[in-house]
Amino acid sequence: MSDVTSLPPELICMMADYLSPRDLLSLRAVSKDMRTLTTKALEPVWNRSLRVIRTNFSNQSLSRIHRIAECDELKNYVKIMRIEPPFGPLTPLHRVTMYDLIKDPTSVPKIKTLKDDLVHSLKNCRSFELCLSWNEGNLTYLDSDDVLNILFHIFVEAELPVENLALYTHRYTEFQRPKRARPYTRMHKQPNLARAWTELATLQVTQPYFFHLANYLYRTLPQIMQTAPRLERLIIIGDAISGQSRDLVSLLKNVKPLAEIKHLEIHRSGVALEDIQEWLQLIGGQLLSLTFSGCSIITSASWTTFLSCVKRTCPRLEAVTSEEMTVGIDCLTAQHEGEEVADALECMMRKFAEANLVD
Amino acid sequence: MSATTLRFQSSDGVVITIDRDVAQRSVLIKNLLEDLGDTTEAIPIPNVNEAVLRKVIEWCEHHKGDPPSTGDDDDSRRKTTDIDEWDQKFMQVDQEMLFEIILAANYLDIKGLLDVGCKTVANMIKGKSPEEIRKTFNIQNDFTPEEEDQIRRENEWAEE
Repeated sequence: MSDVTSLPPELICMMADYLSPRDLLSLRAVSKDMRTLTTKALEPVWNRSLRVIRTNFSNQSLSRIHRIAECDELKNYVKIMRIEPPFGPLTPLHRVTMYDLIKDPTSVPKIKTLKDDLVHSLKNCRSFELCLSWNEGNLTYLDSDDVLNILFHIFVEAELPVENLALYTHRYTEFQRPKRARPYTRMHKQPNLARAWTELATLQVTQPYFFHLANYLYRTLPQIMQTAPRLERLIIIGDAISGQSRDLVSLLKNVKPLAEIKHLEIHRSGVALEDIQEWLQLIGGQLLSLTFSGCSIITSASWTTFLSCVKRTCPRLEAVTSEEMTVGIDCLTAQHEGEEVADALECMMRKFAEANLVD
Repeated sequence: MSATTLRFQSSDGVVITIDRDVAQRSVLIKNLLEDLGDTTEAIPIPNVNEAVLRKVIEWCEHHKGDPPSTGDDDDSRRKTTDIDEWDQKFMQVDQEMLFEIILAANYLDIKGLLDVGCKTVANMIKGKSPEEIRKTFNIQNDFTPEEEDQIRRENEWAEE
């Protein structure tokens, strides 16, 4: 007797091309055979829905992550954990006073479970994106400090091979800025971070909107750069209000990274080329690629001077990209990869100079 | 000059004579003839019985004027399940026959027929709940209540 389950898997896949994700999920819930037969066809669906797992570190959200971690069929789809405010509520917290960091965060049961899941089940989840928020924590709610604290404890204790870390801020945090933000940071209480960054390859940072966030971020970043042995890509993004990243660059240009930085990307920001020029003295020698995207200059330093400096200080450069750059009244895009970067830089210099003349 | 008709033997031993150009709708047979050259022997089709083979031939005869498929039309991701009227009528058979036709189309490598078959099955599934799909295809629910619960929860993750 031929029935639908007698069809070979490749035919089920062919048929699945005609079905919507919702239909495929219904089919999956029909029987064990069907669950197996639809596995392949549902891959893109799971990839889309589980690749980035969002959480606010509340008990409820952490329970959900644990359930995903327990599901053998789905746990490997999780690649990125995105932690977004408002954080919490998380109980029971071991916070002695309102302003203390949580003591020994991985002893909080839900956090301990998360740590174990990240080590044993969610083995593809090695990228973390944290949206910083100005909100201060209290006895059940967490703040950005707490979340960083929790993350770093997990990274260090589990010796988690974190590959990418992105620290960013949302615009809406600006509207609800507290009258009086906590003037100090608690980052000095973070564990020794060296062991957390053994595999970190990409660090992406968005310049924070205001001082309080910047303050503790600016303590953490040098620590990470100085301790991550495999860091090779730095991505710097200007904040969406002022469109600048100057503070971030000014901070980072004085930090000697432990690893050789091979790729530097600066996105969506006004840049002070003299700062970056100075930075290249420190890291330019190892740089393989340099990318500017959606940037404009905010000081009198010119692209021509800058690019000739790039030519001098970055002998190993293989690729240089500038996308949608505001130069004079023009919007320039130029890209080069492979041999003869020097020529490409010359050509780019001419283009930028011409655009400037029109101005 | 090659013969204009060919003889095929179904899995249940019945020999059927078919026009050569109709038979060549099947890529398997087309390739076979290229290797074999001219033959007057009945070509055995071991996986397909007479009733199914006759259905398949009926489809090939109706579609013998169709342009040959290009092979790679996978560019349109969201595929339409529209089926032309004649094919719809053609596919109004019991389920066992439907699946036998699909299997035969797959074995004989007749892309057009395979597509129609897959679309027909897809249309029987579309918009149905798991329970309705079970009824349609007479499939036993072999999940425990816990497993069912688990699957429902997992499926919710996909829709978040």
